[in-house]
Amino acid sequence: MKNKLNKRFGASLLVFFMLAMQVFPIGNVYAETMDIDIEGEISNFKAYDMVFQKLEELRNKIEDKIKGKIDDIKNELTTPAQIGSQGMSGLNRPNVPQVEVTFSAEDAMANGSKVTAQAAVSGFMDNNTDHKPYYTWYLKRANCDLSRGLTSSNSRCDLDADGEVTVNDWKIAAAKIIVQGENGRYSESDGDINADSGDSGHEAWPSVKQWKKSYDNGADNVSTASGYDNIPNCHVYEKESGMTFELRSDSDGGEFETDTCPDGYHVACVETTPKVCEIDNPAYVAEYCEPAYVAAHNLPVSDPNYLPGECVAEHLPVEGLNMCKETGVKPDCEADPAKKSSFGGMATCEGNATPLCVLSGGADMTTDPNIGIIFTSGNTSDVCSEHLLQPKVTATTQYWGQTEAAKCEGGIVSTYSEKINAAGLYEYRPVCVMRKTQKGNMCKHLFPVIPKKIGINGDGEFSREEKNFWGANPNTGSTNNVNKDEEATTGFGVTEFTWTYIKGDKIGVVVEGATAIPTEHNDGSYKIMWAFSKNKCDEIDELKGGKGNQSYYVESKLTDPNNPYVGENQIGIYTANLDLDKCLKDNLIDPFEVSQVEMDVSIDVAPKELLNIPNEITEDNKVTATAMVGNVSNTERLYYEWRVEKSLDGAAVPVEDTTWIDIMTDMKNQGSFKDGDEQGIGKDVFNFNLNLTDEILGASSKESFYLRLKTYVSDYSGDGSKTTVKGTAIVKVKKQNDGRMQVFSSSAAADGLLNKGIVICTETGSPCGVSVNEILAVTVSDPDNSLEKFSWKVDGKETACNSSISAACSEAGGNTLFFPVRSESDDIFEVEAQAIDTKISEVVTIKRKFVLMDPGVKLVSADGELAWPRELFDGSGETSEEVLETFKGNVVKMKALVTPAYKERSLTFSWSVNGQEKAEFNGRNEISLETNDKEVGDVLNLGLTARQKTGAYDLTGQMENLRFALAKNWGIVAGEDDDQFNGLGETIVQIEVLDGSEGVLASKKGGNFNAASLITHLPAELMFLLRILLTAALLLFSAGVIFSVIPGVRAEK
Amino acid sequence: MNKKEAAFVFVFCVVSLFIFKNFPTQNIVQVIIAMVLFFAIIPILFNKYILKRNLQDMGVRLGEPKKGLMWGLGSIFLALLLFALIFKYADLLNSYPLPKSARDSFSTFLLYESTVVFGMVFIFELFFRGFLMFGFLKIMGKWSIVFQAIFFLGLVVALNGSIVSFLLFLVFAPFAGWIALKSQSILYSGIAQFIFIVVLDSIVIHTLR
Repeated sequence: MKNKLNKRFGASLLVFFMLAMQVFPIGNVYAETMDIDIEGEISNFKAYDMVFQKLEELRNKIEDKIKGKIDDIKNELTTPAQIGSQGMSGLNRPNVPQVEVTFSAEDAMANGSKVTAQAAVSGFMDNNTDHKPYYTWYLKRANCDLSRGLTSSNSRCDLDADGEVTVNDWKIAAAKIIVQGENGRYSESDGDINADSGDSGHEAWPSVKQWKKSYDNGADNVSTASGYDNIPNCHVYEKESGMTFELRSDSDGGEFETDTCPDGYHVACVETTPKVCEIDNPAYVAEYCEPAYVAAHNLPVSDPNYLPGECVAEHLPVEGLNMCKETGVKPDCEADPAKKSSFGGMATCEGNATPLCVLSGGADMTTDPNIGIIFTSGNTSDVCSEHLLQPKVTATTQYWGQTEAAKCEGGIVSTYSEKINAAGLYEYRPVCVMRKTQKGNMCKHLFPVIPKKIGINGDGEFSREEKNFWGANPNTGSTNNVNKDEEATTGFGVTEFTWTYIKGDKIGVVVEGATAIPTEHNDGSYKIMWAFSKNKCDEIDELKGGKGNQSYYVESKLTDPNNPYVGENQIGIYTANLDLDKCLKDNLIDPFEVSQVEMDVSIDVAPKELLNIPNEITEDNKVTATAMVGNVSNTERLYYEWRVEKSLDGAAVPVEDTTWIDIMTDMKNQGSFKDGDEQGIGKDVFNFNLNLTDEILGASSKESFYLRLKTYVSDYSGDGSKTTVKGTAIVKVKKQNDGRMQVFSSSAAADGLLNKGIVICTETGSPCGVSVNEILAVTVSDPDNSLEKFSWKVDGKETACNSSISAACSEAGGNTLFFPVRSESDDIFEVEAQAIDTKISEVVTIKRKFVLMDPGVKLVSADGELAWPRELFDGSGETSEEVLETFKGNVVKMKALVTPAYKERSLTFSWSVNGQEKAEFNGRNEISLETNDKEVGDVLNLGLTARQKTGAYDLTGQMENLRFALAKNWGIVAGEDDDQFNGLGETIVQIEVLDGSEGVLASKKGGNFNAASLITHLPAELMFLLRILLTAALLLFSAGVIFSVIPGVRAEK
Repeated sequence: MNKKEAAFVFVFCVVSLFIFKNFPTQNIVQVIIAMVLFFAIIPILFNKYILKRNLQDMGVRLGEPKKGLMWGLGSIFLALLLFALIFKYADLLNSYPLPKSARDSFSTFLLYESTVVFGMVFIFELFFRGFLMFGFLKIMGKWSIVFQAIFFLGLVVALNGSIVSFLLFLVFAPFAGWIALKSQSILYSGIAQFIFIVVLDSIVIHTLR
């Protein structure tokens, strides 16, 4: 790794310098880099052009050197060994398969809702329809943790009935849902037993017979070596090291090279073993040992110190010798960690034995143990290693002063002290090569495994027993109408998984398929690999750094496998032996945690342009806020709580640090909405009126303000939990500012050209009363001179003013409009001006309401305490306009009420009492009448006549001009009897004089309070108390009387 | 109490409730005064001065605390169970009779429970269990429990009141009758009813939040 890094660093450095050269084609930079004395070079040339020529040559030299370096690195990186064994790392990292799972839910992951998991894969050859990836989904319910045994709580999890909860049960749980589709479980009885179940089968690739570990670990049924070679391999990818490993067991994988030992030697395990040799007893005379001879000579043969030699033994033992002896067990060949990079094998023996090339004599060690052994004497314990190649030692022993050679000298390994061949290898140490284990393919599909007595999943046959196990429809080949049944159970192309979600569910998917990465084998095959839903697997991660159950083997690219090391014709392949099923639990995903499928809410506000009209509740300022809740199927059960806040920044566009103030209480007090509308179950619509006063809003802006609508939506999903989400909407509200639109009467010149008259309707906030055929002028006040490009609407219809109507309209789009009040107008109509406010670069709207009134004059009491309208019916509250009442002695004040009010200024009034004209009242609009001189019951007939005024307000001369202007500008012909152009006529009221001394008829307003009406003025509560107590007393009293007179009552007492 | 006397008492109750219904009131204070008078003071006076009985005959006594406690707790449990079913099958949460101010503020909730609810419980217990049920116990036996409950329902209907508004009192009326009958006191039925309403109100507020 370090070397690799160094090479990368070197390559990067060179590339950098090449770039630098392009920037600085000449100069000291690269000259110094290459240790060239440029000054020395330059000094050899007198002329500058010569200098440049020399520099050009230098540059070429340097470029050649760099190019050479880069080629070297390229060559180094493209040797077969590097690409074959480490091609997955560094510069050439492949597109390894990955899978990403996303979730969608119809009901925000509520209990019992349908949730869909979608797997998006990359790195697989998905376009290959025959070998589409297999998606093995697995579903772990909350109580289905892995368990060796079953309890009452998890017994339903054991779907394969093997007495424990395994990942296979999770797979079956998911596959059942996939195969059954939306129809739910079918049973065998749902189908005709003889019915053709159609084409349900799907034969997996690679076949489950080849990858037999997919369903059991028993013996396979491949009989020939070539059959094994044809079984597709499979691989796993370890991301940290960037290496892929072929899934393969390495047992019996090593082979010893045929020429690993010299001729006449064979590979063996040897170990040091104590050896007792013997020598001949030269003094031995057989007859001396005859019992008769011993007895006759009285020889002390039983004395251990007696060594006469003659009769002890023919052969005597020589102890303290060791020998190196074959154990009889052949050495194994294993991967050698020290030779990992060169895929070298290592011969190993069991226990303390050592692999060794042992001299073959054609003899069997068990019958001729002296072949291939070395003797030594003394304390040396490990003959095989320490004295491996030592010359033979002839064991001797002193015997009665004679030295005798031991008889156990035997075969020797070598007479050389060491023999090292030209390659620097010990010739007498056997060398082995890791070869592919024929039956070592550990690949298996991760399909759910069903009990063997029912069938094999993915074998292409889908029996009725399998149908019944999976709950598939026996009458069709595709129960879920999407895949064939066995395609569904193997997950063939099943990219989606929809199930009924219960809190605590976790799911995962593992995808198996062919990738676009070629295998190292010389057969054009591609790697079959797996991708896990979380792309993690501890089993695989363990392989990094050479750990875990991993190995390698060498395969010849050509037919000659003689060279044991990886070379041009050899390829080394790393292998690992692991069970991918163990990865599945690491890849469980909790959909609730990872998915973004949560209830959300947004607010839709209508209308788009909001207008605040203070103190008024109309359709114009009505706002409808609708909460749009997403990811919830049943919105009726949701609880909504609405809030409205105002921005303290006024007309400025709210930003993050804008302060918002809750105005719900103010709005409620203002009657903007009905109490209870702001919260409740299923209240997804909040209606309110924007009738807010400046006191509520604060007078920070005259034009507009911002509101923030909030809704808190709570979902009580029925599992004891509550989810609350918040939706907000910020809206801009324009203020109705009718005070900005001034209303004028108008006067006309003889040619019909109009001028503004007097200001009318100075009170803002209420409609301006006008009458038909009046010509009015409206002007929008613009103190900042910021408004321009006015456009106008009267009663919803576009209208305009120009210089032919009035000189005030000479400027197009000006702030003044003349318009006639048309008879076809609504009773209440609106004049709307829109203009561009250059100050805030925005269209502003100014409106003013008008109400149609019949022009006229009425007589009313100026002081209701002194004279009041007669009540038409007692207690009805309705009063007469023509008949008033007063008490004798009151000084009645009456006044003329003109509609529209502004017309009063152009009128003059004359009064009459009982038909007699009262000249002293003429010209006044309010008079006082004494009633002292009247009798009770007298009726006063008060008459009033209103005429056009002469003088300053005399419009008499105007009338014809205005008629002309109406006709000329708008084509309106006013009738001769139009009150607009005449006086407002005559009106009469009657005032009846009553007797003010009658207490019960005392002044209704308390003006004539007297003692007789005391009871009327008792506090209402006291009266109530009195009444109710009297009632109670009466009730009890009556009851007592009746009770006492009814015969038989209380007889028993 | 013989049948004639019972009939007379019944007529008296009907008449006094008729007067209560039609007595003009203008504000809540007057309504409260009328309720206290017609449901508490008049029955007590009637009991004392006309029927010549003492207050204990109306169940205003200690009675049998053990039975009161036992049946009280049992009734609360059963009534809550009943309401759980009602909530499950009827959309009562939205129209549950609890003022919004009491839902929003804990102090208002306490004030509401200790004044309005307590007051209502007090007068209803005195009239329906104390006066009516104990009054008719002798001639009707246990049927007097049903009688007072039906009379209560009749009152609510006669007052044009919303059944929902009085649902808690209506549902608990038979339970209260049973408790009062078993414990011979309206003390326990009143306490049980009060606890039941407070607990249910609390549950509803918790659920709505």
